[in-house]
Amino acid sequence: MLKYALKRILQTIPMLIVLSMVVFGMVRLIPGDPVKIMMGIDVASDSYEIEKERLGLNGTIVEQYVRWVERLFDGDMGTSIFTKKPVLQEIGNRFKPTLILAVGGTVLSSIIGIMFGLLAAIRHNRFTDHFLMVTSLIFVSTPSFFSALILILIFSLQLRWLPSIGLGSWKAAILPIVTLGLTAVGSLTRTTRSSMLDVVHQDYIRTARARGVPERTIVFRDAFRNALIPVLTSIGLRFGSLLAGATLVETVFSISGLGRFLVDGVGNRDYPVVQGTVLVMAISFVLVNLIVDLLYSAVDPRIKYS
Amino acid sequence: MKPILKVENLTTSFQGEEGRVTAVRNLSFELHKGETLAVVGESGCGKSVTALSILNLIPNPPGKIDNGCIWFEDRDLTRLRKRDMRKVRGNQIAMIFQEPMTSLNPVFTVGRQVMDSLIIHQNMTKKKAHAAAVSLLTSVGIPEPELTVDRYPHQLSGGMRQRAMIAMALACRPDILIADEPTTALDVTIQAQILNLLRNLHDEMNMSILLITHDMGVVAQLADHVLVMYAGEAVEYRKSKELFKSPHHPYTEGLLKSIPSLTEDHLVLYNIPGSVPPIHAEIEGCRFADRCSYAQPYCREHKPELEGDRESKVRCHFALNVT
Amino acid sequence: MKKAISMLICLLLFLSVVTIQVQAEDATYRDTIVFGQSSEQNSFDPAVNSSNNVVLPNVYTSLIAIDENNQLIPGLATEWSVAEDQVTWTFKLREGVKFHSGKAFDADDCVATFTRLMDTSLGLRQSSNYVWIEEVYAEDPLTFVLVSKEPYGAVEGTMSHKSAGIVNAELVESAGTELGTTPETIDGTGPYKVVEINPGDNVKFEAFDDYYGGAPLTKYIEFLLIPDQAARAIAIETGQIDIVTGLAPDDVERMNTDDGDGVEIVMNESNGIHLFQFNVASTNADSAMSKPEVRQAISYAINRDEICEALYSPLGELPARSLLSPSVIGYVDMGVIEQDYDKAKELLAQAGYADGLDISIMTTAIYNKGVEMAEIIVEQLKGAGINATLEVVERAVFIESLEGLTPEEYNEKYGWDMFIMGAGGDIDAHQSTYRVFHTADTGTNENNYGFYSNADVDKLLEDAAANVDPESRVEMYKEAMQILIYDDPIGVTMNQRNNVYGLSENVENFLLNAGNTIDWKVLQIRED
Repeated sequence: MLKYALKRILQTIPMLIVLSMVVFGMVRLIPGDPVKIMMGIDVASDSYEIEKERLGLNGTIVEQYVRWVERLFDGDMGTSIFTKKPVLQEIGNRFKPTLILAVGGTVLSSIIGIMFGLLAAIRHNRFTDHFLMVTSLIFVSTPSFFSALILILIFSLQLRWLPSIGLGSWKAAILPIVTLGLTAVGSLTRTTRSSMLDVVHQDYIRTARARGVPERTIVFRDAFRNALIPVLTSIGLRFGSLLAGATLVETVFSISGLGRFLVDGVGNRDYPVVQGTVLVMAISFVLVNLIVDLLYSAVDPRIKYS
Repeated sequence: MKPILKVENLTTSFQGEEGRVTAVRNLSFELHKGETLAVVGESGCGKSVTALSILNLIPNPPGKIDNGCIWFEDRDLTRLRKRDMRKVRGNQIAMIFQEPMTSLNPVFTVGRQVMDSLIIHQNMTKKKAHAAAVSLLTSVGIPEPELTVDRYPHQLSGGMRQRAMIAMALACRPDILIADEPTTALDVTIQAQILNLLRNLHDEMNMSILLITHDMGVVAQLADHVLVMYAGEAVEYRKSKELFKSPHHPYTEGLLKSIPSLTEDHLVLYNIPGSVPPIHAEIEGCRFADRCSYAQPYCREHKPELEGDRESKVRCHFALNVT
Repeated sequence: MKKAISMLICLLLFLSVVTIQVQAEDATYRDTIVFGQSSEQNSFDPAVNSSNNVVLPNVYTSLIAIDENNQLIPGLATEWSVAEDQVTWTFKLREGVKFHSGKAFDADDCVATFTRLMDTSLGLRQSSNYVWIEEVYAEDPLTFVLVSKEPYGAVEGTMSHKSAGIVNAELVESAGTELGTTPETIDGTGPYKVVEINPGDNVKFEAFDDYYGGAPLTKYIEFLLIPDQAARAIAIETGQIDIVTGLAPDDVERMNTDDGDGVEIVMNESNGIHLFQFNVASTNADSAMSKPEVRQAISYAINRDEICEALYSPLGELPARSLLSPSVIGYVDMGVIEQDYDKAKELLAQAGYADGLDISIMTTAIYNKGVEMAEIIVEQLKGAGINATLEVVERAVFIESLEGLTPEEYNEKYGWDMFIMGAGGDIDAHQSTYRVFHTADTGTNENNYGFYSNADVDKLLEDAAANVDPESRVEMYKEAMQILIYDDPIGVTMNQRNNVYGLSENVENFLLNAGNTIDWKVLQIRED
């Protein structure tokens, strides 16, 4: 397994290199000069030149790229044009809130999504099934910022039960996590349901019945265990994408996470921030994918022992 | 002697796209203790549905047992409560299926699946069940059973899987084993082994076997009695030896003729002309008439009944070889 | 009997007065006030900060301060005067002032602050405001002298600017470019010190009890970053924050009329205006924009009252009455141009456009309701036979279009005839007029955005800059405005912006000036 993991990691390195080049070039293609944006339109030209050099934005694009990569090997991701702080440190500060949201959102959506999916599959084609399918469709179609605002209006404004700003207390984490969870619940419900329906028609379920296994055990043990495998992949991938930040939720709830950091960075043309953040996100996504694959192979005996 | 299983007028139908179709129509037969009864026929003749109906494994919807009684130990299985039916399944009546790979749960070890019945029906402890599983695997001829017990189905060969399935079925020493095409998916050489195994087990445990198959060769090797089905109905019931010697029903004759022989030269394999009528078609008269080389106009107008005595029945107006 | 009754009444009155007094003293105050802000300060270094005037004037103090009535008052300097030579300014400094770190303040700190600002090799953003200084020195520990290269009218205005906040000389030495990035490198003489900075999240301030103006009344102030406008409105309504700015006009209107929701709206005239500036060098339609009649016509075609009513009435914003804001030194009320289609058409005909004119307008949403404003203008211009096409751009493009292009480059790449812009000023007319309205010697648009050039205006601005007599300067700016607004229009003014704040009703002593600075020292919030 270790060999497999290493091989996979090595395979992604060329991809990461290409990605870094693409991001590096793309962000400089967007019209807008970060130095001007930061210093203001009325900045004197020599201050401008000095600042530009200080930020390493002089020279050709190739020179800039090489310089960036060299520093990368020293563990230096550059300095944010806007905040003047090291990019790596800034990313580090924002990783914790993003992690909290990612874990919370994934756990919540997994629990509810799997429950609903199971229920819908068990009550296939009956009212519960249709109801859950419609509900999950609504969840999937509702944009996160909309659900966020609705939740805030109800629970913060009207009922005054929960705060709507930041992650200062465990109470403050509830609404953003629920918002993130809701969006994923829809798709997880459907995935679980179809996976279960698929499994429930398999021959080995009939065999289990023929052995006199109680129906409940068949559903929750024999079927579920099989149905869960593709669902796990779905959950893992969802977690991976949440690690890249949930920009809309972060903005509405004023949470300082990676998503907003990247978007603000693009808006400010803060090249080091964009480059560094995208690289970090890409790496974490790759890692999560790898872990999901390893998990898959650990959980599915057909792959584990082959 | 009272039969261990008595099926009376079993009718099972399914809700299809074009209406309700009857898969098994007024089927009646008996299975005696220690006997191996083969139920043969082409695909779609209703033999698997019959087997599933006995253990009430017909998926509902879209299927349903419309009518009939299935007597086992003085109880009508079709009228049993779900809870009681479960107690019968895997315990007193067990079933093995055609495709051992898909019929075994891929994410649980072979051992777990064998132990399952023991734990559910006999309340055994895990430890005892484990030991029992090992000995069961041994009894079905699986080598290295202590290791196999912890293996997963995909790690075993086809033959081994089928043996494992047999072990699972026999765990609680059932009175009846229903075997639905147990060797169809296996190589010929493995087929032989499995058949041997079944025969040995049958002899050792005096188990009654209901063998569903379309392979006359298998019938010849294992069966005491044969029930031939066509289009959902029983068309002939005979002692195995006698059926092979002189079939009464034209369809049976056709089946026997279809067996490729190792001794004769065939340029063309024989097959019965025509095909099974669509199961939702309501037909007046004999359902085999269209394909029967002996058919008379009378056959097409009058439906024949299953007639005969305890050891020999046939559904034909002009049965063959009848003295 | 009468006497007894009157005595009883007196006693009751006395008791009620006493109880009210006692109750007032019983009111408890919270030790933290929370602000909700829409964006962060880009730096805590006065020489770099370009965000707004909200925070820095409470952390640092300049030599001259601005009170809540926009008047210049003593800051770290108690008195100041200019010598006969009109270039030597002497500032007498306040005694016994301490920095947050405890170091004593003296003239050396002033010298260090300005020397730093004058050094253009450091690339500090605010250096461009100090290029007029010849030299600075400390005559004695409590006397600071500043010599300008030429007589300069905007000295007081500049000395009161937040960029002139005095920094600790030792810190300039030790922190170098790190100055103002962490709590350790922020050391001012203002009423509050920075104790924690969490970028993207919040900033925490603590009262500086040794502040020369007396210990602040509230111990902690916290600034929370809430980027989303709706979230900010909800935050103040639910009491999660106490003071907020940057509210949407709808929310302002609602909170203003809704009583009992716990939020009070406070507005005042700010230092900014919106306008649409002309690209005078546009070659479109035989250089229509170069003709003053055309630009005047456009000005007459627009109904400013209608725009303000439609877009800005919840914020209480009215049409601007000059290119400068009322609080700026040099401001004169120039009136508002009323819409007059007849006059507009007449002027157009005079210029040779009797059949109408096609122009292009650029706008961006970074100015409040900038897009809606442009849309209304397009509609209004139709009435005078002017057909305008509108282009909406994002911030980065907007900024890029002003990065120092020649007229040819600008017309080639963008070619807009009119574009949205902000103006107004920051205490002195010179800083906001010269840069933008004087003919640019580089010939590019990095400061003079619309390539405007008028010899009379140039002369007036030069004279006003070099004149240290406040009254003469006001006259000169008035004349300049007449040309800039009426005779040879540089643009069309829109709304005079307001500072709009939402406060919890429990907030007391909220003092706000036009420059958007609140005096934190006296700010308090009652416990419910």
